[in-house]
Amino acid sequence: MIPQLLFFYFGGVTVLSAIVAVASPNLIYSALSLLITFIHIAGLYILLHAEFIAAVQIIIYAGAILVLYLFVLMLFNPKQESRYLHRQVPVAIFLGLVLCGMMILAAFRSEILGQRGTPDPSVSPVQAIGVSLYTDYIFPFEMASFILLVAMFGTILLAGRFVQRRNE
Amino acid sequence: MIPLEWYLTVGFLLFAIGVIGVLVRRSIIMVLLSIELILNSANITFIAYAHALQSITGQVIVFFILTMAAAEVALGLALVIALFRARAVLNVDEINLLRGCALLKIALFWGYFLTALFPCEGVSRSGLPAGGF
Repeated sequence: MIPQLLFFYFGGVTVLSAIVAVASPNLIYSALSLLITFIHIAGLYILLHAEFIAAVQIIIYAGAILVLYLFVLMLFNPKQESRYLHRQVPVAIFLGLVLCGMMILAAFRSEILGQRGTPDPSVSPVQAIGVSLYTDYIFPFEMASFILLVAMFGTILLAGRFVQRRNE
Repeated sequence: MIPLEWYLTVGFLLFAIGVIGVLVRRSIIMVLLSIELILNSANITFIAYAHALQSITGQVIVFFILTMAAAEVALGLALVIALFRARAVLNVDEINLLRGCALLKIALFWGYFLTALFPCEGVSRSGLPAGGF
């Protein structure tokens, strides 16, 4: 009974604060309600026994990405427009609801054909993730670090301000 | 025991909200923020299936998605800052630098790029026609 109640709390607050984030005219309020969304998604991960991913979700999404958004928002301080929504609102809502309905229908009607894993009870999940990252997924791991390096270079090149030398 | 489909429903609702946000909002920062919602819905789906199948692979893939999301946010916000410095717009409807004869502009851009790399006689330095277009 308790896990169901916790699921409804986390899932409901996730969806509601996501709606607030998309619909709020104030960008700061949008970012803050997205923070609530991320923290409750971490709660859903804990319900799914993915504690490591929950911690990483809070550290990276709520700690790093949201702070980046808030920095940019406060740097620009964009004025609150009266017409902040595009005129294609009905089309967008129709499209989103149809998409969501079709996916939920597919989720309830289909059955899983995938192979079940065999978890080793002597190894903790975090240890299993670490071993899997450094053995089976070592090449994607290195590619991810390379992607982060390229993103860092690109960010410095795009957003940095270079002072030109006067006498060359 | 919570069935798998409930978690999937939460993920799909988040996906729909993210898609609606991308289509509806006019500020480019909000469009990037809605893309975060879409990525999170993918993460919820992966973790739910990893729990249902008792596999660790889903969690590893979510780890990579988190890495990619961090890189995407950093690059996207840097692009927004560069765009705001160049043209002082944040509205997606007013960002139309490549609109119109887009192919011609792309061709001219590559012409500029190549003449800058390999300068030769008789080709103007900019590669652009004198009167503009």
